[in-house]
Amino acid sequence: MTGLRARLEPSTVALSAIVLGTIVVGILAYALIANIRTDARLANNTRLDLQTMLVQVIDEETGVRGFAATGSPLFLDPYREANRQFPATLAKLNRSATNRNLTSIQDDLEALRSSHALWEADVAAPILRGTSTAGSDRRLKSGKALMDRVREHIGEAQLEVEAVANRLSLEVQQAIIVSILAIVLMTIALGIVAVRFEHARLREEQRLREQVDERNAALERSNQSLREFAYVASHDLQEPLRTIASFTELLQKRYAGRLDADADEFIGFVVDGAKRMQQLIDDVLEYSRVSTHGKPLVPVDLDTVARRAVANLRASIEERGAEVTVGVLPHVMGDEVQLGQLLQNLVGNALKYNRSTRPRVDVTARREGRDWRIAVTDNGIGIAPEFHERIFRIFSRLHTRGEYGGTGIGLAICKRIVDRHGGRVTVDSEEGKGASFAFTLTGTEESP
Amino acid sequence: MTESGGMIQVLLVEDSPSDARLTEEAFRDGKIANVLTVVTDGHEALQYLRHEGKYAGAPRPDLVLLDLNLPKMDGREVLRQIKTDPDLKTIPVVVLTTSEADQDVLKAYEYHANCYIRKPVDLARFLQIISMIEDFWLTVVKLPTDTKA
Repeated sequence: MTGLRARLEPSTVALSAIVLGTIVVGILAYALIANIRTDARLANNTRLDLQTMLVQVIDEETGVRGFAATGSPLFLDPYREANRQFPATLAKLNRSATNRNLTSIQDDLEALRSSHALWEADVAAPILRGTSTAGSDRRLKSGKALMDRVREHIGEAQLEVEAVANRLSLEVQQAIIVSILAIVLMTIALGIVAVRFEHARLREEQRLREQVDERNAALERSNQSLREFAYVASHDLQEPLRTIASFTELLQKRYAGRLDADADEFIGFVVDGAKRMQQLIDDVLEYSRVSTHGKPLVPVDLDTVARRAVANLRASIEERGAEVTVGVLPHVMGDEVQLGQLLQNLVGNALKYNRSTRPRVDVTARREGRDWRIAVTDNGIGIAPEFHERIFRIFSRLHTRGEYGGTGIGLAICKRIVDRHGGRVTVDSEEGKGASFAFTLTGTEESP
Repeated sequence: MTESGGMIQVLLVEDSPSDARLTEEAFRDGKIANVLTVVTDGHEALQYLRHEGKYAGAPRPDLVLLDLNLPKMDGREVLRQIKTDPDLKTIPVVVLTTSEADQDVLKAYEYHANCYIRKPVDLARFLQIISMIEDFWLTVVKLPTDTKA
């Protein structure tokens, strides 16, 4: 796990740095571009305002000239309207001129303001008062000169503002291009790091998978050799044990009563011990054969298997006067020999651990999804719940050999067979209330 | 029966002294007068049968009891050689072994063993089986009269 972290950390850091960098660059670029665009908009508005002012100035001048020429107050309307709006327009332009890009028009604005004020005072006001018509020609002439200067300054200011506007729109374009380039580069870097990150992750996953496979294989090998060991060891133990058992029996046969009573008793113990050991070894062999000698799982008619198992037990069924019923059993995936052994063990146990005058054993089947649940139920002595797990362990016995014989291998073999079939074996029982052993098996497709 | 001396000759090929001794005990109780000779490996068995070396004067056995797992040359090879030798192949060979591998049983019959018997674990059963072998192969069965002797 620490290896994984060490491998991934540099990539994670790089990834975070790039993501963060991209975000910062994005925000900065956005702020910059927004800023420039605000300035550009202001410059455009200023151009419009200058245009408005030009119109106002023309209206003023035309009105005054018309009035001077005709004396008709009709001409004064456009003059008054323009004259009224002029200060507001000028104030607005002055405000705009405080922007860092537009300070250069401040001089023009000041110049045109003073020329306009002079025109108002020296030209417009006297003419409007109508004090002198004699001097109006001269006044109009000097007024035109003044207004020409106003228009000149407006024109200059317009040129300057236009230049600013052009420069700003160019700057916006450049900023956008640079930002896009920066973001593209960041994205490429992000992609590269992400790909490397993913590669590292995949390599790590691959390595872990290989490790798991390797360990599983090692475990399987170890299990296999353990199974083989148990088999070979028990098989080879039989040889010397056979010798011990045979010759002590021969001793017993030939010398019984010819040595003293102790000798006869001791020999008896050796013979008995050797026989029990033979039984244990036989059981271990049978137990390990479940996995070493198992056949592949194929469709099996459990009904036939169960009836054969019951037939094999006919002697003890008759001896006990027992009633054994086999319900309708399905076709399942299994090893026929082992399933026979399984059912024979369970039915055999049901008869063996039974003190009823009329022992009864029922073999039934019930569907459980894709699986079948087979139960062997009896009216025997039952098992207290605290022993339900223990009874499936090898050589685990609940009774003395005097009460019930056997080595305690039967249920261990049953469990091993069911395990090998991928099922579960369970017991439901209480002391004195009979027992029900159940196991699950996988059904075949054509199961009834 | 088949031998002029009237004594039945049995060759036991067995490397385990205890098993050899048990078989001897069983034959000692036998109903028929017999001579049991024990050899402990495959080479010796073939030397005995072919009257080679120290076995130049050995009699031809009426029955061979053959263990499969033997030192030097194992029982399977001994069996193959006996059953492919025109002089020896008429001698009945009983394979008597602890092996219960299906492969061994099949191979033994493929090599024309006359029968295959697994040594029982239980003494009483062992004695009984030896007695049955004796009964069947030495009294019940009619074997070809030896023309070479």
